[in-house]
Amino acid sequence: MTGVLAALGLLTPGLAQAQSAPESLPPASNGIPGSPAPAGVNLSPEAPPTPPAPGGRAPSFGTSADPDAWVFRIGGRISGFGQVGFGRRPKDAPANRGTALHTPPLTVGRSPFWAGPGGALNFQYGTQTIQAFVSLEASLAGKEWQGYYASDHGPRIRTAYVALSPEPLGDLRLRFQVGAFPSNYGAPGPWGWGVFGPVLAIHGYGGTATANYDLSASKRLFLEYGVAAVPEVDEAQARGTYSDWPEAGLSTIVHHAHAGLSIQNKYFAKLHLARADGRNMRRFLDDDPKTVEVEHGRDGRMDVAALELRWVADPYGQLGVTPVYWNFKNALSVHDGIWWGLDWTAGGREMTNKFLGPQSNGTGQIAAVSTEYDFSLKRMLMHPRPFDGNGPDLRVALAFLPFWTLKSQDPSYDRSHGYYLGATFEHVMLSWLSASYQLYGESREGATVDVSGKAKRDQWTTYNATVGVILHSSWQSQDRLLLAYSRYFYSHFTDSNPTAPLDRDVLTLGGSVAF
Amino acid sequence: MRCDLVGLLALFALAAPAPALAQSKDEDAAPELPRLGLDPAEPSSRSAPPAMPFGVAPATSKDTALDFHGYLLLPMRLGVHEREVSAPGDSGTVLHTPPLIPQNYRRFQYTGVMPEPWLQLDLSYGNSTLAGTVVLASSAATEAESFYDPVRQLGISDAYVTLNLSKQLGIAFQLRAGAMHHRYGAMGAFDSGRYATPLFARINSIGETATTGFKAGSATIVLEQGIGGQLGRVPTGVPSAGWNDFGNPDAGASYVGHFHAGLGFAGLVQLGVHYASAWSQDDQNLSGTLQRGHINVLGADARLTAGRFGHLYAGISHTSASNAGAVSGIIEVLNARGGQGLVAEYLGPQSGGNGGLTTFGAQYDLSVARARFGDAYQGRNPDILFSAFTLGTKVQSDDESHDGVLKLKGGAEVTYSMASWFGVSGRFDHVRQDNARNRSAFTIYTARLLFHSNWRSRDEFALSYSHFVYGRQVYAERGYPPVDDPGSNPDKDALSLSVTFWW
Repeated sequence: MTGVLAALGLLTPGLAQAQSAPESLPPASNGIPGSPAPAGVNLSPEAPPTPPAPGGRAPSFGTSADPDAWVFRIGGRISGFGQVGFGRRPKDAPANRGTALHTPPLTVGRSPFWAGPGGALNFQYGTQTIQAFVSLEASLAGKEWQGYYASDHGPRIRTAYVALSPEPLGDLRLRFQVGAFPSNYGAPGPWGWGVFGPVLAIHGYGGTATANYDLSASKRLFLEYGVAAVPEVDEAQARGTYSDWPEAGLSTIVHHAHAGLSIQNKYFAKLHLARADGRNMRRFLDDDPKTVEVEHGRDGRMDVAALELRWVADPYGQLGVTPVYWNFKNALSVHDGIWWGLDWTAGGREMTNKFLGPQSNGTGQIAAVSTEYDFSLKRMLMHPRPFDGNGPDLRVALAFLPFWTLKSQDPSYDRSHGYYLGATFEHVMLSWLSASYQLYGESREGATVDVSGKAKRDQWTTYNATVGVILHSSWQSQDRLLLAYSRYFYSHFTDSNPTAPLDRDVLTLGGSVAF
Repeated sequence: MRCDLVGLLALFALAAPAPALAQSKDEDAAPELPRLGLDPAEPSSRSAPPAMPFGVAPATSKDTALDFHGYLLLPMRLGVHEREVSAPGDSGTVLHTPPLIPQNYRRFQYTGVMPEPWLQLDLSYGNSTLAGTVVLASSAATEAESFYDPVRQLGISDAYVTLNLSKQLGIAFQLRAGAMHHRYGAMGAFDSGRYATPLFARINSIGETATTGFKAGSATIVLEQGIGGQLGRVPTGVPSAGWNDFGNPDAGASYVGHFHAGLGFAGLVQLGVHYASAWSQDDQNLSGTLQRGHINVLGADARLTAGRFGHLYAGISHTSASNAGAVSGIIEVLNARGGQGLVAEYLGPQSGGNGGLTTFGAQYDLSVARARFGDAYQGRNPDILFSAFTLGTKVQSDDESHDGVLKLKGGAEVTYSMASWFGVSGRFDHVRQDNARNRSAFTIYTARLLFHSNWRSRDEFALSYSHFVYGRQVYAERGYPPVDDPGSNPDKDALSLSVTFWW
């Protein structure tokens, strides 16, 4: 035994270093096997029901911890929005029927407001080197608010990850992040977002490794690689009963790589590449000739390539242009590992139904160019004097996103095209009062089948214009109370059901605060 | 009379200083809105005094404090799958997630080799005498999941109040009341062991637990007692379905009483005896035929905390069950939830819930550096960690096909922590689901690369590969609820990229 220990001890040579500084030794209960353990006959209810960390090196939850040098932060967002849509009288409705009120409104197209969950709490704990993040969300799920218990409104732990940022190696900074989190890329708007959001968003359990390297005082190189997996849902799960509508029997694994360059922190060019592989694990839903429209037994693939170009042209604002290309092969077998594609569209099935066509079998190609220009009028007018946002202003965002279905096996969608446009104006008049004007529109070629089975192609178009009044606590506060009126416009093809006409008028009252 | 008046005025004066003080300070403040009722955010009951310090464990604080802890285990898991039937366009070998492997936490087959998601946030508020604790937990982060599964979002999983009357009574005494779980027979020194399986029982109840302890010379005696029930039962007529975690309407309202005694010597050895009795005597089911059910556990364990010679745990227990199917998940034996879990995994469907388990387990952990250098080694240098572990149970059942079955599993892991940021590990596991049938046994070989931020850091980024060698009758679970699928072709290889971190 002594010989074995001595031999193994050769692998642990550096002890003298620790022995020379006994005054800095931590408390004895440090999780090393044989260390004193607290007296007791059971585990604390606070301890997790999990085995020790892989390998057993990291001290377990019950070990005493050094409370110094750790920082805890809590942030979040609270919101509540109510909307009422004013319905129109259906054709052939009884004459005594009055105006119908709808909540949620009976509309289609981009909504000017995103309420989000009722409350979100973000917990962060860690040091500059290691950080944990957990977000807890809850909404108004009860019967008091929804008319039934809407279990899919939470509460839920949504995002959780641990990030490791080692000490810089010269001009090279590394960051590793592992857990359950979304990664967003390619948005032409400021701060990585914008009116129509990212053209590539990835979610799942997985990780990313990121490197930033200063090529010179004015040039910085970005590199990132990531992998994520969305777990399979068993085929026997009854979809849509108490939860949303997941794809069953599919495993989706996403690989993504990114490279970028910034010059003078003004010019940015980033290339984003991603591939989502959907693995068809179906056994029962497969190859049933009676339900071929929903069951497709093939491995699938969805490839994305986007080039993000941004120019921060202070004081004239920021211009972003992101051309993006998607290639789909049997994409109905790809679940939502690629969480957002074109206009918040998730996964292979949604992208197929919306842009490739239901008869495409999920195979085809799409291209789009997401463009956005953002500016502050006051900042422009005051130039060269600075403007820090504390004063009256007109903040403007203009976005245009044309897209083309380059290739599809569905003849109704092959070589079709469409566009999204958005314009938001926020007139900040007083430290506590703003006016908001928003315009959103989308149009694309669509197809339907009439009673005789004949395919009919037409233009699916919807626009909405919104005016609103916003109250807030200071010039740049993250709180707002809002009252808005929206008017919707539809093409005949869009509002084509005479027995259930879409709402044209919508009132919104709500508020949100972020902290 | 005059003295009475002065005294009365003085009392009024004592009662009124706070508003006067507030008015003098708030002269410049915005006018206060008049109130006609309660604010929606106001609790229905009186709140405790405002929190002052943060990050101080209430148990060590004289002042009222808020304490916050958390734990994250987040893995990406991939299985390498050989497809049974490959259609044109499909690849024969696929990577998929989660792996199709026999690793159900509720069953004996579980080893903990392949990590599963677990997140929890612990919030405590109070002081050294009284503290309230709420635990928020989840076995999924919805951002990464295919769909929102409410069953895996546990919300508030534990909520209890701890009252420490040691000062008042002059003897260590703690009373804990509320909804909480206890695990007895933890095989690790600071955790529930490599198999994450308490040897005796896990008890999930709303009730109380009283703990006392005292010293007699170099001996320490710990006594613990608890009693509790569950908050409810599956209502009659509710179908067993995914949204209710496949609740069992034939399990009655259940209760549990438990008693434990521990005897420690010089911080070196701790001996314990444990007894828990869970029962149901409900009559509320559709057929009205619900009978009383019992699950009793009696066990003893020994823990050696031997400094440079490591940590050794060994224990043995006997579980006896009578009409166990009527007992709810108030008790978990070997992680099997309630009587239904016990019948499904151990006693067999023809047992009527009658039978027993004789269970034994042991775990030994050793730090080679500490063995060589003693307490001078504090974990800030290279080290080799060695762990060996085993668990077994012998089934006695009225179901002949399950009677006499001996289930065994064992393994060992060696971890070489070679740098402040890097280590490697190798693990071996062998599981015999029925010792008499080699074809139901399987072996797992696991290799890991471990990355971390420092010596003794509580974070671990692990890249793991496991290779499974199966007997001919080892099945993976599929379906909803998942059950053994003889047609399954379990993955032979599995990969995981995981992170663990706690504070």
